[in-house]
Amino acid sequence: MRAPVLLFVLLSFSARAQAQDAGVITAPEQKTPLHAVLPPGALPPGGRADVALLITIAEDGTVTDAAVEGAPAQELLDAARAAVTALTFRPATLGGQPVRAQVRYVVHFEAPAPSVDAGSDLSRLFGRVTSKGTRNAVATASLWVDDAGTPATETGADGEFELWLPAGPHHIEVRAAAHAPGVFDEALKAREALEVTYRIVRDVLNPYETVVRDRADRAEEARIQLSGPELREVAGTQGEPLRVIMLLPGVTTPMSGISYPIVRGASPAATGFFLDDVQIPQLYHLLLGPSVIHPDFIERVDFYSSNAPVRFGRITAGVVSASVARPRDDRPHVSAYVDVLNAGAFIEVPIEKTGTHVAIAGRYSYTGLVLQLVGKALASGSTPVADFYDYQVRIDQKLGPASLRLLAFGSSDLIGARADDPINDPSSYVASRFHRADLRALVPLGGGVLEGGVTVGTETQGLYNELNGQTQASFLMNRFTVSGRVRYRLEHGPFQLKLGADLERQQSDIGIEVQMSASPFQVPRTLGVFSGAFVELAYTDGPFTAVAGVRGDTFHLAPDTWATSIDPRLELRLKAHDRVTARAGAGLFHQAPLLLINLPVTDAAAIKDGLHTVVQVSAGVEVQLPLGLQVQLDGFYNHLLAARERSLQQFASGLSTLDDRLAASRTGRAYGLEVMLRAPAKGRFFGWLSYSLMRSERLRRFGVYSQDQVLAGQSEAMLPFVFDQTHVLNLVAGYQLPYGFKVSGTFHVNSGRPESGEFSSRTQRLVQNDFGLYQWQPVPLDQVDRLPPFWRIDVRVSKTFLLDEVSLELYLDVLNVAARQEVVAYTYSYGGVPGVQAAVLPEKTPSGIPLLYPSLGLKGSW
Amino acid sequence: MKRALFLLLMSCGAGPDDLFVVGGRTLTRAGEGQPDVPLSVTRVRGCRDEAATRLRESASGDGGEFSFDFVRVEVQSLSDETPICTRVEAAYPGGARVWSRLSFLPYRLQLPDFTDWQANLTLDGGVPQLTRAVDEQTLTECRGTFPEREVVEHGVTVRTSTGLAWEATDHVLKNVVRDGGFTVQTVYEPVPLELPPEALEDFDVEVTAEAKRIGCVDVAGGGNLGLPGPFQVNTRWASPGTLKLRGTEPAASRGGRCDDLPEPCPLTDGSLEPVLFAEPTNRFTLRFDRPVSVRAVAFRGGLTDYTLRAEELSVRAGSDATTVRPDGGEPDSLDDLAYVPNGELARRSYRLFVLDRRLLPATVIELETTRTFFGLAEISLFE
Repeated sequence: MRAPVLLFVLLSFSARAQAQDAGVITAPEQKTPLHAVLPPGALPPGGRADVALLITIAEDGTVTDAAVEGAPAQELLDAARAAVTALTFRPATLGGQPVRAQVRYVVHFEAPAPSVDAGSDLSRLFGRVTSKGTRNAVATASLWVDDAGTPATETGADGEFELWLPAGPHHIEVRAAAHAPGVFDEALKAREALEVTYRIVRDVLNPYETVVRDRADRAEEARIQLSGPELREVAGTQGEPLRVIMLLPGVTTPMSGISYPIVRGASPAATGFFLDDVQIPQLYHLLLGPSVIHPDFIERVDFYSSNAPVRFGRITAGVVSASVARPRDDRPHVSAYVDVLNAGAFIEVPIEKTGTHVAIAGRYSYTGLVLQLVGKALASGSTPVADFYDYQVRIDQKLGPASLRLLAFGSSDLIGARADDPINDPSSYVASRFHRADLRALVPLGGGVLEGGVTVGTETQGLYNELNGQTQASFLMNRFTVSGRVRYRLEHGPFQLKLGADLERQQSDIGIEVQMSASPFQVPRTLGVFSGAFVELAYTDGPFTAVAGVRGDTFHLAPDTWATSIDPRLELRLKAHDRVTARAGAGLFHQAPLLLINLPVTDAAAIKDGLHTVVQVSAGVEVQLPLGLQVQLDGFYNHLLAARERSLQQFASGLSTLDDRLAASRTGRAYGLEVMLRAPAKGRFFGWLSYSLMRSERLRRFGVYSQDQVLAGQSEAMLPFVFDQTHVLNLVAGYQLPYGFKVSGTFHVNSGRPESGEFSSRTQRLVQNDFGLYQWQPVPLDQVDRLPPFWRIDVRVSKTFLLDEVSLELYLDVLNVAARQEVVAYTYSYGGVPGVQAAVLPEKTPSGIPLLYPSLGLKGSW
Repeated sequence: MKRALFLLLMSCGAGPDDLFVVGGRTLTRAGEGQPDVPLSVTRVRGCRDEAATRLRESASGDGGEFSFDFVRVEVQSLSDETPICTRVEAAYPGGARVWSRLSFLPYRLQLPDFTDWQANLTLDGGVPQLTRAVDEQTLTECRGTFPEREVVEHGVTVRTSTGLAWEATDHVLKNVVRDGGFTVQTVYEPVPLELPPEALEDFDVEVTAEAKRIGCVDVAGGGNLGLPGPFQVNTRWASPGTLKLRGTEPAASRGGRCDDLPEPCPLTDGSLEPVLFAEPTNRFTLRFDRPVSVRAVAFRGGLTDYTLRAEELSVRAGSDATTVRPDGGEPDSLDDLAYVPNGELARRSYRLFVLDRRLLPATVIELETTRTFFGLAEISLFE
């Protein structure tokens, strides 16, 4: 009998350790050898089997627990557990400090093989078991030969196996957890060695690793953590994890299908988008298209609907923080897809020799080809344009205990109408593009982890006309930013301390070319410098966690405008029962004056108006229900002590309103309840129901006037915000059918926004003129109606094809499959029968766009 | 996609609470700021002065500066059918009145300076003599508006107890052919200021001196993409002091009957109240109890379309008829734009046609013009 072979595999840290995103982690190191004894008769000659344990290694290096993950027989488990608990380790460290860690430890048993001699008829069958469609080995798969009552052997951690069988035909059945049994027939010749690869099919095809949750810090637990199909297979999202945010509670949008999240009734510009703490101006292409970051580049998405951690400064509503996927050192990874509008690819290559890791991703649209056909079909004299591209590059380099990472990414959108006769007819475009490059270092220091980063970026947004190849008129907002950050984190016992500071310099200008006017006017140009510092202390005691922090910021508009803010924040969580967790939070938040969306120039230029200031208070409870269901109930109240939300109309046209006169003293509030009932992705089904009951209001000033336009005076009242939607409901469900088919559907319904003339028409009423005719006339602001409610259904169907090492997914994803048209405005006009009747009959006609977005594509992964 | 963009950017639509700011300065004749000049703003519904509503009253500041804020509901028609004009007026202590009447109000408008004016009007053999209201050297070039250079007109207005009897200016509007016949350009052409005896008819009148500056400024929101752009704004002056006169040319048409109009005919009753026609017309038939031998025809207070065109008047008197074609251009009106109730832009006109000969006497006089009238105050026939 050969001596037992020991195999130690460190697969991963626990979820708790994974959350330590900014620290340098060292794995525990085994100090003493493993002495495991194979129980006699436990395996047939040449047979192999693995016992997988999840062991807990304490700060002193001893093994304090060994939970079983998988074992073919109790006697093997007992032998493995006895050997493992006797081990000692050099403990894992976080930032140089010993920490407790959980490690998957596999003990591999192998019985001595019979010797092959001239007189023996035994043949050697050996090889590997992999998951079909991938190159992933299947560990602890059992191989059953000729319908025997016990398995002949098991695969090791690398998926390899070896069998000694008599010559002749044999029926091999491979069984493994989460896989369908695979049956293979072999004909062995005497004294032959046959190498095979058995590829078995997973029960549930779930190759995805991205996670969305709304808390990232290790001192807090995720409130909503979505994973796998909950991110990639939700109908209407085109498989984009970032678009799933639009279906979470508390999130609305200016128009159904437009992926600009409005979080808890705040202005869209009050929500910040970050990729590894680098702020990006937009998340999605063309407002409703795919995200500007390739999905495979993203490992996790943290969504904070309120009470974001203090490291996110100068943001007053939600935070969407995407984390770049951490390097995978096992082998190169490649994926690519094509659909009707764009194609993308992701390549990840580890370079073991140098400790370097490179990942590149990007996508490019070919909408021009499609829309050119549409334009010709419409014969409208112009061709719609909707072009976009994005790219991402990540280079990681290990430098001893430290690490260095260069991250560069960018995006470009161009939409508009290209004239079919560009010599004589103007073409009009709206452009939006940005580029970012970030260099980050992580260095263990003084028992903690020091992070330093520098980011440079440019962005341009605006519109322009072209005639005969020349720019006829343009309005382009440009911003060049340079920022730096430094952070330090230290853990000690139940405490976690975070310190940090950041500095950002923004230089913005508006480039204007107007051919028609030679009028002299001032071109806006701003130089803004923003800086901040924060400290956060987290304390955990059993089921109770408290996180307290404070952040200070300065806002400077050159040459002499300054503003400062101090933001204290507190977060409490108590796991009152195995199934019940309660949480509460409060904080103060400041932001530079904001426009509807994040645009260059607009924020820094208005600092003199004061800071947008919000107090956020929220509380919630999460209950685990039977059948694996979860229900969450949250309430929030956000008080806008100073609502510095600039009017888009004023910015774009220079036209002020009575209400703009109130800008310096406007207040507001948003409050509501959110409910989420969820069936997490376990097995073949996933889904959730989210419902938000919200109210977002602003103090508004408006004129009170009579039907004959006599101004009776001015009034002030707390009126619904432009994007206020009282009810928002999302129902998401998905199911994996046999043969690789998956289906999912999304039902969305929202109540209408105010028809206030902001991002909509203004409600009009019929009045009688001097000649007795009825005419439309806008109503005072406190008398406007609501736009009608809207619902839509999205569907997604996909089929996965598993080739040997490649998986292909063919998918059809349709947003708004019923092509329903959301009413975003009304046209108030006068109708009549041409030639018969004067145009004096008032008509109110709804206007909207049926945002139907079908996406048919094919994605391959290797 | 264009429609989608339009809808998404619809936040820039007009609202009743939109603010309009109008500012300016009141200056002395010497060009220095004159404080404490009373100012008023009136809303002129339908752009007819008789329907004015006082919106604001104020006085200029220490440097003569003034500023008024309005919301759209005050200064623009929300129903887009009945136009509204806004009139900003300064009343100088010496009696001069200076005003601008704006049929469209840009978001932010700095009016050309208001300056005091004493015209010292006299009549020299029936020809008005007056001092100028504006120094020619202060006039500027205009880009993007007509005319290409600011113009100052002077004129006289003749008022009776019932309305405006006549208006004469020292400029006419005419089309000129340029570039060897390839282009036609409209110009303001200076002409001698005249006040013919027929203008006064036999009314008891007050003659006053008035002036108009056809000016241009850059305003916010007037150009592409909401950027500053060119805007035409007229400034009007009324000088203090009047000449009280009595006309010496009685109209033979007084008391005549008009086809399609009630009796007594409002176009021949000597009252200068304007009459708006149910349908625009260019034909008038006047009937008299005694034969009239027509020598000249005056149209007073006409509201005509705004298009500049060659004017002709055909007059038929029984078996006799003639057509006159004045070639001196169309006298410009000192008054600003006028609107008729259906919202169409109109020009107020006072026009004297002197026939090439006196026509044979007739009791039915038919008039036909190339100009269509939305309304008219009086038709005067002279023998």
